[in-house]
Amino acid sequence: MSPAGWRVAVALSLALCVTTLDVAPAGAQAVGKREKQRLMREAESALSSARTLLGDNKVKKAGSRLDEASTAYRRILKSDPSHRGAALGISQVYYLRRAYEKGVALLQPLVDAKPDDLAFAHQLGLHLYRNGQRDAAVKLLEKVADNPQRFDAMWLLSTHYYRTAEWLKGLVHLERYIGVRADDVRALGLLGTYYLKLKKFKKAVAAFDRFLKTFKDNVSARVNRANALFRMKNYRLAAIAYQKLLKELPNRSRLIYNLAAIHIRQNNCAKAVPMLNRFLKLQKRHAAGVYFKADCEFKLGRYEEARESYLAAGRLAKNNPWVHYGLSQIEHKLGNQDEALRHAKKAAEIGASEWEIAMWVGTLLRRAGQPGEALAWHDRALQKKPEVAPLHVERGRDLWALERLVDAGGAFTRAIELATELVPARLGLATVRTAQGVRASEKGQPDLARKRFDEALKASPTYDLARVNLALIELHAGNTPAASKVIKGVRQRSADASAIVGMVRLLEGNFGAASSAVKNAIAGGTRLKGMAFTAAGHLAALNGRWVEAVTRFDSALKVQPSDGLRRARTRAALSLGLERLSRGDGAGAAAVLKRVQSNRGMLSDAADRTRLDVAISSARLIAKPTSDQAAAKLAKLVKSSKLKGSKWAKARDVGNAYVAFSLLKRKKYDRCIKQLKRIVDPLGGVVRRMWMAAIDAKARRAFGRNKYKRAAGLWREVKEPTPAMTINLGAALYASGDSSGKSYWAGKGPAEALYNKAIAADREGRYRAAYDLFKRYASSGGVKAKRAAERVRTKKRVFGWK
Amino acid sequence: MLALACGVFVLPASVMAQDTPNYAIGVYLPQSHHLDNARRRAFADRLAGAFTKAVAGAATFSGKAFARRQDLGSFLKAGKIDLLVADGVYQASSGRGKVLAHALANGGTGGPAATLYAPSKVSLLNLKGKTIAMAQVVGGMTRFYVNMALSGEVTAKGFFGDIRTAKDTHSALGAVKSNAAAAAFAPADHPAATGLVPLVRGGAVPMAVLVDVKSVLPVELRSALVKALQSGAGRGGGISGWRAGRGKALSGALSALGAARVDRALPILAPADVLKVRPPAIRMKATGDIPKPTVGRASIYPTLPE
Repeated sequence: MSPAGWRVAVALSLALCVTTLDVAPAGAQAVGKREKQRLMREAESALSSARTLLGDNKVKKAGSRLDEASTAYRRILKSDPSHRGAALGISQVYYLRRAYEKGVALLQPLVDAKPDDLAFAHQLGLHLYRNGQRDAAVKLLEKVADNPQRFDAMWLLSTHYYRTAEWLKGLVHLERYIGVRADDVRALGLLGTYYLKLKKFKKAVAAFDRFLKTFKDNVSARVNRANALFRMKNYRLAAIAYQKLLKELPNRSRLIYNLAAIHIRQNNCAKAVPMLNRFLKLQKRHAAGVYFKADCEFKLGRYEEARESYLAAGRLAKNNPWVHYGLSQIEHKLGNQDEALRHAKKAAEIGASEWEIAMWVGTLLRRAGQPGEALAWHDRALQKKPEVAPLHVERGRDLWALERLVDAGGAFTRAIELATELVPARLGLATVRTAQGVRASEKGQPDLARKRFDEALKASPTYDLARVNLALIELHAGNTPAASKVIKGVRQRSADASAIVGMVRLLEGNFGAASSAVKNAIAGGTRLKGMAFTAAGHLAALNGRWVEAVTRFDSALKVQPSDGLRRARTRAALSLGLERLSRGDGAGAAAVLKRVQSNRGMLSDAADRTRLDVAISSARLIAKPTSDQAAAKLAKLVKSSKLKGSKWAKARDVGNAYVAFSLLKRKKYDRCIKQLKRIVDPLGGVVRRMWMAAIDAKARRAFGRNKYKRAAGLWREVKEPTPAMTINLGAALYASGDSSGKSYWAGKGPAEALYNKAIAADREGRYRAAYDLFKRYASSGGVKAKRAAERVRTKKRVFGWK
Repeated sequence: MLALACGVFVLPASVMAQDTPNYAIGVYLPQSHHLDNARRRAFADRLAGAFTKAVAGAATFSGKAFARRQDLGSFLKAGKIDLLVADGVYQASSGRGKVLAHALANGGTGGPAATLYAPSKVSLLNLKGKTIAMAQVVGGMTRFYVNMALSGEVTAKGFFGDIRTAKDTHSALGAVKSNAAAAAFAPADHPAATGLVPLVRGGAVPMAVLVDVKSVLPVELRSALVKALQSGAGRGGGISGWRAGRGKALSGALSALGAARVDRALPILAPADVLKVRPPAIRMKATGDIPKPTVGRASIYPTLPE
């Protein structure tokens, strides 16, 4: 026997002596090897049976089995005190009997004697733990728990570390335990909890799911599972779990609270508030609950309710700066800026270390038009929290408001360094750079401007205004392709961008696209009105829509006058005037051309200037055909050197035609006829018709003055007389005493021939024939129908005709 | 002879003051209802007496009736007539002196209608070429009645055959009754037309007018005379009353003495054709280029919204 063995034997003997009172039979005898083996088997069997019976809660039966086992072990030990197996067996008997002190008494010496014996250490550890000597027990159990056989040690340590909240330590043992005791489902519940505590939420949920398959109604596990789902932000499943739990446990306030929290996380304050109300009915004085309710009411825009809730939260948690912070936000929303500032400052007073509150105070001050003070607040907050990106953003805004662009740019840059994806920071920097670019552009520094705009886009690639300004630079420089490339990159086609697109497309010759873009720009209220109207004017001019062209150019001139624009306007107005003239709208043409005349130097084409002169003179005459002055002016122009040459032949003829027309209107027939002789081109028969009208008028005048022969002579001059002229010639001849005039009244023509034939019939004594002719004429509606009707009535009366 | 002539003008049993003027009234009413000149004479006398009374001694008046136009003409030429009560057609033709008043016919009208009478109802065309009678008041009496009764719808010369002129209407109508004429023109409702058929009626025949031949009567005297007429002095012979002034019938008579409508009607002119006399449209197109658009310096200063 080794020295160690001896020590064990002695120890055992001593221990057994202590413990023989309850077990040792009298008269111990030496036991042979085989007998020992038999006894061991017997004892193990009894022990195993006892475990099973204990598992079935059959304590009495288990007790007799334990007696059996104990007896067998003692016999062995009496014979062989160093028999380790028997010693361990006894220990297990003690353990199952819960005789932990005895177990400790038995095993302590053995462990002392053989400190490396893990089996002794295991058993002792178990006994010590159960005996309340946990520290010592844990030390021993830690030594042995990696052995898959010693799963009870694993379990004990798992539960021990759970109680002491030493999760990492406990998890090792628990995972091992589950590894060897996969059948022990209850361990999964503990495992789930471990994972939850260790924030391994997915694993926690998986463990709970497995656990709950067997232990469906375990509330703790269900709650923990719901919590795990919540913690891993699976709000949908967490909400389902909580709702199910709440159906069974409607007054479990924590569940209600958690469900409310889920709604808040899902930004569904409308659902959160009723939940919080329900929670607060159970836990009236829950300050956080009241606060969150206030917060939700604020988000829902129910400011009065939110105000009340914040005040209630403040009463529950005095000196909570966030209450004042919330109240400040409400007052700000309601437009009570003074109150907002007062609450904000109170919040800052209470929560001096809260940078968010200090930031808010500063922001309020800036919005109240005090950017200097705002800056001071933000600077102070930054002194305490230099790494808070939003603070730098607010500082940047303060500096923007103070027009300190360089410093503002610095602030935003710093914010980006701290939080690369912080959108307000990037937006702020893009804005500052764009402003700097605009300033540079205004100073005539296009290269610097371009640089700044590029920087703006680097800060925020979606900052379209930088693109717009960059495109403007390029357009002003005459670099249309560059402008086109830049403006293509805009993310959202604003009205300003559309204006630029319109101009670019116009310059490229893509008129359809230009037109559409310009329309959008104007409809959208672009700030680049000058550009948009200019482009619109050019597009209209290209399509011959002169009214629109002139209107648009005028609008552009109001905003951004330039010589080029004036020239374009003048040219368009000339076309408009000529268009109106061609429609015979003399007054309209004159109105437009008046202004063209005062800007005639803007017409680059000399021929256009001549056309202007012709148009103005003609327009005035068209508007007032009987104006002596207008006719004289036009006549003078036609004769002048301006209209010399074959190029202006048509213009001369037309001008003369207008002068002739004026003379005709003024009843100066002889002069009209003379004027007509000046015209070379027949002008589509106009000259002839005018001449005929003049002759006819002269003849009528002569007839009216009873100069019938003269009248007849004039009508005779017309080679292809109209039917009216033919009849009138006959009338003139007949009136002059030449009865051959009657022959001109035969055939088709104006009804007046009937009247005249009646006259002739009367004179010839053919009174009935005259009567019939008068009758026919009276029903024709002719100029003397009334007179004829009177003749008919008279003849009826005189001759007695019916 | 002279005394005899003067005696004609001296009212019986009247003693004239040496300064009181005496005015001679001539009465020529061939178309009145007076059947003979004796009746006209009596009318003239009555008229003279009424006038004398009317002027209350300011003047005296003496009257004479004339059966023939020529006789009247001679007296007028000799200046022996101061006041004339004459047939309106006569006055219209002569136009002499100042018309002070005009007579009204029975019923108060401006004058009886000019009427064509025939023995029986026939159409006017049936009288073509036939003999027509009328009182020869003036030379253009045919034109007068053609225009006034027939509205000028036949030629004055050539429609009818012979024109049988009579010294008065009574005689003219008598000619129809005695078949010396196929029809006669007369003022309507003449007593001598009894038994004849009016074929056509026309415009008014001015019965009579009072004319200040020499236009020398003082105004107050004229007024007194007109008043006297209006008070009933000039009634009789188809005259029912008097009115101051010329009266419409007289103006109508003047027009009716012109050519018949059928003779003077002139042809009318057809209205001027719509010749579309308009100068040609002035079609000119500007040839100068519209300068290309240039883009001035522009920029949009950004904002940084809260």
